[in-house]
Amino acid sequence: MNRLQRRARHAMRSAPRRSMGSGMVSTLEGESGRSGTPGGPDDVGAHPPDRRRPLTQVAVAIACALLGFLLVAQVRASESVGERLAAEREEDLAVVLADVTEQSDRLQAEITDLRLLLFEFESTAESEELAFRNLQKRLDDLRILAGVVPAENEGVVLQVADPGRQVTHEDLVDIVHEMRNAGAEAIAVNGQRLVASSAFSTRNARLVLDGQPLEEPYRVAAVGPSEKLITSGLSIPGGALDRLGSYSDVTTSVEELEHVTIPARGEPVPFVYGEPVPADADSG
Amino acid sequence: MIPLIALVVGAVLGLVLQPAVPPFLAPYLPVAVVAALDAVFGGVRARLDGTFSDRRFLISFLTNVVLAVFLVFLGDQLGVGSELSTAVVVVLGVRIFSNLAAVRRHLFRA
Repeated sequence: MNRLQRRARHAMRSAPRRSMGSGMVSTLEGESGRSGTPGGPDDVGAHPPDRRRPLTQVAVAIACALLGFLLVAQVRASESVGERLAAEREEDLAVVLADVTEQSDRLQAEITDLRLLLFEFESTAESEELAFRNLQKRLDDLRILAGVVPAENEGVVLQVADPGRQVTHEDLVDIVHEMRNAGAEAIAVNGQRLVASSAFSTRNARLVLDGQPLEEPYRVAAVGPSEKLITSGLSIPGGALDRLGSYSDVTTSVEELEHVTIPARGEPVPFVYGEPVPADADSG
Repeated sequence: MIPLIALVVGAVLGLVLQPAVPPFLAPYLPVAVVAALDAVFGGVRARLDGTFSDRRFLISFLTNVVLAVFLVFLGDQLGVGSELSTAVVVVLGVRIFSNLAAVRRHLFRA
């Protein structure tokens, strides 16, 4: 069968279809015959069915597979919420909308509540951190006061050379008090830390601090505002330095230092009798 | 036979892979599927007519899908997307129906 014969046959076949004319179905058939369906008269002859190229056969197979794939995808997609909603009636949709709006309001309120809660927690955490820092600072202060940790900063060092053993323990108490009065925060005498319970005494004509004999020369070191320790502490008129100066062979020297380190007390002082008053007792 | 097998393979692939339709494609996928169906039924009819051509089928398949999607897209841009997609589906549906009627005539000679 050659090309011309084919053409002729197709012309004959399609002629009556066109002439049928007025009916709607037949018009549409004509439409699909021309654009939708393959095999229009003018191109069939190019590739007769029995000599199809494998490449286009593969392409046809791919197109069919694509259709199957898309079909399934679309069927699955139309099972989703949005597609189902599109099929609902208006009254049903109104009900659904009301439900969803209510749910949205509720969730919005929940968001607000949770945000408030979060804010509360955050501020609590902040104030707790502040309280923790305050407590830490207080703990540090108390440790320095109790002498359980070394303390360091600017301060003064007072050297008292007393070969004739003329200095009394009252003189040392005066020196320490004047320093504390001027703002000394940590004091050591001959490397021995002074704490709240420290006491000077005299035993066998030798000065003793907390049971430890003190060797001459005495070295009193203090951490505190160094300038103030001297001007309004040690060297006030009629103060300890004046009195030490009145002894015949006592020599003193005061050093103002950028950095003084006061050692910790070897062992903390055990408290036997003192018991803390419960916190709620003094407030009520 | 091969196209039928390919169709089944594609469907199985879709079932196995469970593809998620991207939101921007959601309005166009139904028309694309209907257009492809139209092309395939047209192909079946042409096969029975003895006038089937691979090239023709492929071109018809692609242009059908692209044109249908383009029409709906155009409708979306003009604000009559749902109406135009209905129109496309109706036209394609009528064509599918007439193609099937032709197939029926071939198979049952009636």
